[in-house]
Amino acid sequence: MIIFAALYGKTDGGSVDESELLIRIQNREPEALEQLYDLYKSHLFGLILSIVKKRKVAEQILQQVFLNIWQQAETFDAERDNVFNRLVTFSRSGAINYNRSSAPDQDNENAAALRETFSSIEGGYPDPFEATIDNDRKELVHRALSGLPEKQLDILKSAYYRGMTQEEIANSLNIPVEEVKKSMLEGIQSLEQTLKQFISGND
Amino acid sequence: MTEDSFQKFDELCAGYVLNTLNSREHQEFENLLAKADNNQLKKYRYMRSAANHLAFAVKGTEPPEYVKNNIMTQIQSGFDDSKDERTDIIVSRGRGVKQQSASEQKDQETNWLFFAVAASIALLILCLSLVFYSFNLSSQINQHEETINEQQQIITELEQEIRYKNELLSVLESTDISIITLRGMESNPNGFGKIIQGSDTGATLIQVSNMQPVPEDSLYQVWIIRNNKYISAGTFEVNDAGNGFSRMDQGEDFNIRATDTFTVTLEPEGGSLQPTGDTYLMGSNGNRQ
Repeated sequence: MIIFAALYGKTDGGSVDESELLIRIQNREPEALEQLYDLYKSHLFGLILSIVKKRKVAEQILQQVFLNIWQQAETFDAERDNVFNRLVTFSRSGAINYNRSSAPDQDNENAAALRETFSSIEGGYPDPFEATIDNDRKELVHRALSGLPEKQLDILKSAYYRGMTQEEIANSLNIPVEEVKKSMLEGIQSLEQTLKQFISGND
Repeated sequence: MTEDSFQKFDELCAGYVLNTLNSREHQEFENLLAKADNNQLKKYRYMRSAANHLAFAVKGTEPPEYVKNNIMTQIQSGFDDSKDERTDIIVSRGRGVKQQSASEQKDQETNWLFFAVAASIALLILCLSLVFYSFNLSSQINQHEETINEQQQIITELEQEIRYKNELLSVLESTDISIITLRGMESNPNGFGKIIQGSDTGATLIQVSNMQPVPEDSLYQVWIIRNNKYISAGTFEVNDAGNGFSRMDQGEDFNIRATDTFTVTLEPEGGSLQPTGDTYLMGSNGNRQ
């Protein structure tokens, strides 16, 4: 029931199910964190893996994400806070920070990575954009992304899945930073428009 | 707010939710966010939510089961009860990844606890060893003191014997020597002795052998019988072998040749004015050599 709700939009709007989970986590019920983990583990692990490309590191980051949720649960507002946003933010921050701190020459590496096809990233893991769409939300995200101009799509991919900065993306694509900023904004706005029914203004 | 500033807010917001801003822009946007009105806050939240949906475009990958087990083990072992026990992946530019796990910190605490207990036990063992060593040392000192006392006693006896021998030697070195033999009486038939006097110094000595052990609170007393009168010539003790030696101090004019008889009796400690006990030895000028 909760999984159904998560995949079909209720979790990203401060749904009753997710709020109840958060309240139970705040009440220090390990089973609630276990349910939350089961709900998002594969998406978050796939996301982290797509960025760090190292399974062991991805496992550590995923573990830390849920430990952070458990530790910081008391600071969340169960009615207003969006646990999914927190999970994704923790996951991406951990993965991106790992990449930025561990790469000896990040600019060169990112530039090389961008020239590769997406099927080759993650050390053989499948292209996240070519992944099977198994629910409405995924389908909508896929549709929103596929409707973007190629350059905008590359910029969003580089930012979201590789953790590159705007300057790094500009250098790798050999375009001005201002163009990167503009394309990034347009891409996000397009995505926002397509996913209007699923996204919310909650924290 | 101008259209340019709206555009700048939106561009920074897009970069912020995608985590692509440099540190200066990141700080700049957070400053703007702190002063943002409700519309801007709403825009930021929608944009962030939209960006986060990109996670759904990634094909889900099942993490290994032990990741979940690790998480559940850590939170059930009191992970949240102490900030010091946080498992943390601290990532910063130029510093690499520093991972500090709760288990490592717990291990460190356990190590310290183990070290403290081990040190306490070692200290206790050391204290007990010192007490035992002290007790043993004290016992050894007592034994040595007893030995020293015994040796001191022997030395005293030997010194006494040397003094007697010297006195005897000085008497024997005299030009003329008078000796009266003392024989054992009924009370002490095996006993014998001598009274020796040197002519040069007039020193008179008595030496006895095979005497019976003296009962407690008693001693032997020497008597001179002259004109049927008993005159005390001193007291002496004998050793465990029944031997005794003493100097008789009767003055320079004392001459054993002028004495009729010598007797030795057993008397109470301190001596008597007249003989009260049995006679153990007797000798007279008739036995003079």
